Amino acid sequence: MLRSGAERVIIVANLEVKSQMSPWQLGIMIAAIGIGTEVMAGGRTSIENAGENAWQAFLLGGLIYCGITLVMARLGEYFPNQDLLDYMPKLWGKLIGSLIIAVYVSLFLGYFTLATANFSRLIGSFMFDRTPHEVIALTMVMVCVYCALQDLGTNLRVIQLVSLITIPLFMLVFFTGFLSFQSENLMPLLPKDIMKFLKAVPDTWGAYAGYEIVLMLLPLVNRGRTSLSKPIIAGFAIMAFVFSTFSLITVGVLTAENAKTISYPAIEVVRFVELPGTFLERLEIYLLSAWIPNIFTTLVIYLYIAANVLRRLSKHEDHRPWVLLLAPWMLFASTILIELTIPFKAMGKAIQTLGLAFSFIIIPASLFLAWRKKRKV
Amino acid sequence: MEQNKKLNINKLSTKTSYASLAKAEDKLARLRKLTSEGAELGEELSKVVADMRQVAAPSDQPFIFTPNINDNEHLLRVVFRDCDDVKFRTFDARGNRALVVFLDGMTDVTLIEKNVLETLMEPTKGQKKNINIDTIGLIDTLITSASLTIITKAEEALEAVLTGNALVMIDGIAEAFTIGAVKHEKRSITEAKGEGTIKSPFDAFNEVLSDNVALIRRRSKDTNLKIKIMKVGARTKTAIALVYVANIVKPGLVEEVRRRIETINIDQVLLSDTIAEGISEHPWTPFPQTISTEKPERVVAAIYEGRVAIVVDNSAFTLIVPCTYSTLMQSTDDFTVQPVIGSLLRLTRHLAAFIAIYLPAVYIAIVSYHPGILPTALAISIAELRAKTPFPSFLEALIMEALLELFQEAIVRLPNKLAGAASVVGGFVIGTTVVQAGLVNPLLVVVTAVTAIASYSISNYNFGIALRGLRVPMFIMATVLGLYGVIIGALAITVHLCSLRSFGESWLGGITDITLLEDWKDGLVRFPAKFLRTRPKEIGAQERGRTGDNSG
Repeated sequence: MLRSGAERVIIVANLEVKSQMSPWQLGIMIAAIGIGTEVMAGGRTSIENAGENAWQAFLLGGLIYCGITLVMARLGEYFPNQDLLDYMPKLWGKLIGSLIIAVYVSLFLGYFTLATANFSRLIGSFMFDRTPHEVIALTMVMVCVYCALQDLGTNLRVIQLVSLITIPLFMLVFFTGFLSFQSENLMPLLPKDIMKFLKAVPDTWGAYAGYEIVLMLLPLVNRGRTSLSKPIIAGFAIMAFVFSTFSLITVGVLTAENAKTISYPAIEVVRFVELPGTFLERLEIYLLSAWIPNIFTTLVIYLYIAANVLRRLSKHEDHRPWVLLLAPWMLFASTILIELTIPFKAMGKAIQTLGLAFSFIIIPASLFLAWRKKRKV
Repeated sequence: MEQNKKLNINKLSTKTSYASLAKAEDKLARLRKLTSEGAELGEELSKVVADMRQVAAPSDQPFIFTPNINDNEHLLRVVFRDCDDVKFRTFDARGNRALVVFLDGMTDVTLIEKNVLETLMEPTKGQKKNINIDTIGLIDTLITSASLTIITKAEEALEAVLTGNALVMIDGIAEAFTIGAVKHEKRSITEAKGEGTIKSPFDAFNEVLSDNVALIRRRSKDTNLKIKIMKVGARTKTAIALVYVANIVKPGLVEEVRRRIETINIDQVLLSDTIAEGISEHPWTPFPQTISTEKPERVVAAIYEGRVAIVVDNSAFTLIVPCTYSTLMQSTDDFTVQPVIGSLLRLTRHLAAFIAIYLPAVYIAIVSYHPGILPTALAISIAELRAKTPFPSFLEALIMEALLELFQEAIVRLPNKLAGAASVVGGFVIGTTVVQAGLVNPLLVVVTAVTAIASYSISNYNFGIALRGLRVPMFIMATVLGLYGVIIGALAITVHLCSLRSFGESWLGGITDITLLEDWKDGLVRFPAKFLRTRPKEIGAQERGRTGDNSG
C-alpha cells in the first residue's frame, strides 16, 4: 500500500519495510513503465514525421520528458511527504484540484486499456493467430491483477527482477537486426525539415508515458544522500537508449519508407534474421517472449498506481478491492478496442493530448503556484 | 398319564408364558443398568478421591508433594498407573525411608546405584548410621551426582522422570531431587543422510538435542553464541533450542521466533518440520519457508550471518530462519572449491532450478505451437518421432511425469536392496519400453530425464520437490497457450516468489533488489573469502563486518 503524510519508516538494510523504496528503485520503475507496447512499434508514428531521423526524435523526446519529470520531482520537494492527491487541492482549490486528480487517474486507466488492447493484438498476430484476442488479454490481466494485489515491496521486487533480466535479453535479440543493417538507410543524418522533425517529438510521448508515477511515489522514496535527479535521468537514459536503438535499427534495416507502412516494424526487423550455423530461427518469437514480461511490468504499475489513487480518494486502507474492481472494466474496455481500429486510434490520441497537457500545462503551472505560495509564506 | 404330567412339568416352554419371559428380560435389563451405574459410581468415587488429593494443589499442578513419603509415593503411583516402565525403588537412607523413581531404559541405572543408592544407604567411615537428613545436608554431603536439581512442583518432577532423570525423595522432606542420569539408545554421529557433500566436514546432526547443540558449540568458542531451550507440544513436551549470536542477530528476530513457537498449540511435536510449519507465514506455498539442514557447519555459518537456528529434539534436521532463496541454493561445497568453480556450481544450480520447472513445458509449447522456431531438420525429425505416438504432447509429458514420480516414490520408500532393483526396472521401463511401446517419443524421454536430473541437483530437498510440484501446472499452461502460457506461468511464479516473506525478509532476498547488489558476492555467485568481509545486508545483522567483537 502506498502511504503518505508524516508517517515515515527509516529504511533498514533488509526488505522488511513494505512501502518504501530507494531512489534507484524509482529509476528502475520509471524505465520499466516506459518500456511497454510502444517499443514494438519501433517508433512508427515518429518515423512518419521524422523519417530517417526518428531515432533523434526519440533522444530529444527523452530529454524533454526527463526534464518535465525533474520538474515533477521539484514540485514534490515543495511538499515533502505528500503526494499529488495532497497538494493539488491546496494549490488549485478543491474543485480544480479534484479535476486534475481525475485527469491523472484517467491517464493511468487509459494507458492500461490501450496497452492491453495493443498487446493482445500484437500477440494474437504473431504468436496465436487462431486464439481469440480476449483470451490473451484475460490471461495477462489476471497475472497483472495477482501482482498488483501485492504490497509495494513485492511489486518493486517483481519489477526489478523482470526488468533486469528481460530488458537486456530482448535488446540482445533485437540487436541481431544489425546483421541486415544498412547505414545508408539512415541518410541524411541530420533532419532536412526541422519543423517536421519537431512535430515527431510529441509522438514519442507514447513511448515515455508513465513517468507521471513520480507524483505518487515521491513521498515513498527514502532519499538518503542520493539525489533524486540521478535515478530519474538514469531511468530516462535507459528508455532513450532502448527506443532510439529500436528506431535506428528499424530504419536501418527496413528504410523509413517501408517502416511507415508496417504496424509493428520492430518485429519485422528480426523476423527474417538468419543466424547461420546456430540453432535459432524465427527470432520474433524470442523477441516477443522477452518482451511480454516487460509489458507485464508496465501494466502492473499502471494498475497499481490507479488502484492506489482511488484507495486514497475513497479513504480506504487497502488498495486491493480497487484492483479487483478496476481490472474487469479495463479488460472489458480493451477487448472492445481490440477490434475497433478507429476508436482505438482516437482514444490513443485523446490520451496523448491529455497526457501532454497534464505534463506541460498543469505541472509547470502547479510548480509556479507552489513557488509563489512558498514565497508569500 | 402320570408320566405325561411329569413331562408337562419339566417342559419349560409350556409352563413359562410370554409375559414371564418379558419379566425375566426386564429384570436382566435392570441388572445391567445397576452394573453400569455401579461402574459410573466407581469412576465418580475415583474422581472424588483424586480431587481430594489435589485439594491444596495449584490448578496447573496435578498434586503437591508432602513431607510424608508414603503419600508422595502413592500420588506418583496414581499418576504413573499402567506405566510399567516407571520403576519405584524404596530404600533406607540412614534410617529415613527414601524413594527413587526412574524410567527403565532411559535412565543410567549404574549412575543411580553409585551416586544415590550407595551414598545414601551406606555410611562412610566416621559417619553415623542413622541421621536426620535435611535438604542442605543431602545436597552437600550425601548425593555425589554433579547434576542435581531441587524440585518443588509435581509437574516438573513428572517431566524429569519422563525425560530419563531419576527422582529422589526422602521421608520428612517436602521437596524432590532430580539426578541427571539420562541414558538411552541413540544413533551415533554419522554422515548426513539427506545432504550430500564432497569435501565438507562429515559429522551431521543426530536425533538428540544435546548432541546437536554440542556439535554447534564445538565449532565456536564464542560467549555471544546463545542457546535458549523451550518446550513445545502439550503432551510430548519436545525440547527446542534456539541458537543465535547475541551481538549479530537482527534485533527482534529471536523474540519473533520465540513468539511464533510459543503460539504453536499442538499436543505432539515429533518432527522439526512440525515447528517449521507452525512458524511459517505462508502455509499454502509449495516453497520451503525454513532452511532445513543436517550439517552443523551450515548452522554455524547461518547464525553468523544474523539468522536463528532452531534445533528440535528427536529430529536430525535443524531449522534456520529467515529462509532466503540464495541460502537454499548454497552448499558447503561451494566454499571448499576455488571461488570461480564455486560460482559456476551455483550458477549451474540456478539453471537447474529453471530447467526443473520449465523445460517440459517449453518442450510442449514448442512442439504444439511453435515448431517454426526449431531448425527445419530438427522440426521434421521431431514430427516424425511424434507421428509414431498416439497421444498429444501434453498427455505424453503427463505420462512420463507420472511414471517418473511413481518410480521416485517407490525408490524412496523401498528398502535399499529393493530400491536398487526398482531403479533398474524404472530406468528400463522409462528409458526403453515406453518408447518401444509407442507411448512416448524418445525426445520426451530425454527432456524428462534432463528435468529429473536438474531437480536432483538442487541442494535443498524441500525446494527440489517444490519445483517438481510446479511442473504439471506449467504443462497445462503450455498446452493451453504455448510459449505465451509458459511466460504467464513464469510471471505468476515470480510474483508468488517475490511476495513470500520469511520472518519479514524477502524470500527471494537480495537477488531482485538493486539496493542489495553487494549481497550477490555470496548469493548468485561466490567471491573469494577475502572479499566476503561483510555479512549479507538482506538479513539485517547488527554488525556488518565479519571481523568479530568480543564484548558481551
